[in-house]
Amino acid sequence: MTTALLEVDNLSIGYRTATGIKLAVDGVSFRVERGGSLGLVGESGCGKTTIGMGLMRLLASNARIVSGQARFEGEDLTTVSEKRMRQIRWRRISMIFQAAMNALNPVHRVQDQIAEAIITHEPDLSSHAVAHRSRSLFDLVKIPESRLRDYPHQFSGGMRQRVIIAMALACNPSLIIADEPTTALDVIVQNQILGAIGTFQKEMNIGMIFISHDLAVVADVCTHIGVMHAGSMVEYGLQQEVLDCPGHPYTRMLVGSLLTLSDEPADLAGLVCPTPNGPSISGGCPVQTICPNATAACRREQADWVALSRTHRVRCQHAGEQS
Amino acid sequence: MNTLVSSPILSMTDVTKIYRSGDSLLGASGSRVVALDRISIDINAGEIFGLVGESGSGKTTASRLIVGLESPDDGRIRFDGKDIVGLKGRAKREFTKQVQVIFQDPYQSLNAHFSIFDTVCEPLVIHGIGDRASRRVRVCEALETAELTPSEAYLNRYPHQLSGGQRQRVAIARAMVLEPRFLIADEPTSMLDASISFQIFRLLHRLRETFGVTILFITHSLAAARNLCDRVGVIYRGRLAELGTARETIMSPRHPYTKALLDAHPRFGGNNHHGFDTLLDVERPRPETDHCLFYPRCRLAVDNTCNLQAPKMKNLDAGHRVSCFLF
Repeated sequence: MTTALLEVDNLSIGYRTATGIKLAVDGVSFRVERGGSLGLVGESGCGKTTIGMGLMRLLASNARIVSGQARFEGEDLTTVSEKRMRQIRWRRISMIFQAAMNALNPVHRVQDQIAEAIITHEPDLSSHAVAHRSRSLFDLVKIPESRLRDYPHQFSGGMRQRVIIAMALACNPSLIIADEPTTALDVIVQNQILGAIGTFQKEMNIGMIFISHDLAVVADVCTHIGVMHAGSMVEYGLQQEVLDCPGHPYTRMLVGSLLTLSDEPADLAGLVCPTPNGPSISGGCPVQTICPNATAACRREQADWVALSRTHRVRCQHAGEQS
Repeated sequence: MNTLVSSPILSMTDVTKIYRSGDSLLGASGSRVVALDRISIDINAGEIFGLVGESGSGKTTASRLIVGLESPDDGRIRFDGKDIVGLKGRAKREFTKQVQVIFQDPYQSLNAHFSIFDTVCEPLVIHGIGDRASRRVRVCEALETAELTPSEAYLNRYPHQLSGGQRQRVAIARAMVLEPRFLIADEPTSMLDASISFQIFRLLHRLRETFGVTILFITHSLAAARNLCDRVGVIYRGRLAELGTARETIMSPRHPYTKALLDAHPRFGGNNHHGFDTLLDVERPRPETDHCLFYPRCRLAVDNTCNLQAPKMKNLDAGHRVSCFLF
């Protein structure tokens, strides 16, 4: 097996609270290949954004990486010095943020903001080279050159998100973390942005972690899917495997509650859809309170990973018992 | 159910709403935004009607006009055959009792200082319905209707103690406590996770089945409209583009804009970035004269027709109507 671009092993991230460290991410492992894309799916509060911020080492001051490793291009992101991290950040790993409206500075021209991103991380470049690169980036994300001197408020939401993408690509990173990049956008614009992200990611052979609550969007852009619940990853596999034969009850529920367009409307009254916000639990399987198949064993301890295929694994005591 | 033959409970005829900004006292006029432009929609008793559109298309303006939070600049809105624009006093109160709204954001639409009991009871107090004991019974019933059980456990709690889905259920209970005949749900699930959204859709569906309440469901999601609604209207920049049964309109759309929405919908499994059949890659400049509002983006647009006048609604088969010169 070739070495992956990013290999996250047993990563745990906790927040300091009045009652001690509370784990937001609990022993998560995954790998991202060069040119591959992993979708981290889960509902709000499942820890997916914390993983992204942890990998960028941009966690809030009351959060810290408790244990685990994240090997990226031969270095462990969890232990490298802050000085080294500053060199990796944006140049090797960049991020596309959620709120296109707020991620740009309203009082600077967009070309200056792109230039700033380049100069900060590559201070040796000549101003001519910086200008050249900004222009080619705008060309890449299909914003006309005439708009370079505009301010963010003159751009539509979709165009602002294109600027954010251009900024993320500014230093030729090898990994991009996209955190809900299309959540605030209309469906037609969303489709165009997803198309753009997918194209760059494949053409420039960039690895991507795509964080989203929307399974349909993840299905659209990602090669692999990791399903998160309450800080744990409960299922991981190729996109088709996870969607076509979900092995975990929680994944089945997510897939089941996904409304699709079909000739017959979904049977809203018939589908079983347990409430996924049970009380927080200590010990045992994280989905035991909402799982229709939970047994005493599930309450006792969390299951180990069960391999369903070479690429598809699931963390459930009852994996493979029923279809 | 055959909703096509029943009579309209709500009827909007050529409703126009214009927002003005920057008007000076001396009469110099500022900019005008036409939020709704000659919208005509009939909603039948007992149906779930979906108003589908992107942000800024005017769908929320429509709901604000219906409940009387704002008045239209032109056109008529009738509820049960009676004009509701400019209602006052007792007639206005009678009307608001029958029409209730569930707003988009349950984190903002509930008063943080009101307990759940106070929140759900407030409409009863405003309308002077019942006494202390009977109000408590009705509040409990409304909470049970919204599937917050056991209802007693919620009465003394406050919004911050509830999850987003539970808050939205409280908002639904508050809307249902007056036993309204018409419910407006304005993007009720856009702040909620997928599985919670699904439960809210199921609850709305059940309210219609159980109480026969008519629902105007406002959404930007084609999938939600397809699965919940009987009929839908697609609105683009304040004008109605297409109207018909949910199945016809969404699964076999006629209007180029509805087709673009369908093309953009994330499709499960397959790679759907095949591009748009009806959407131009580079927009045309917006014509000076009245025109089809979709003309600048429409691949199928016919020059010297679509850029010179606005299309009128045309009847196709079985109640399917479309506003496009191609038909």
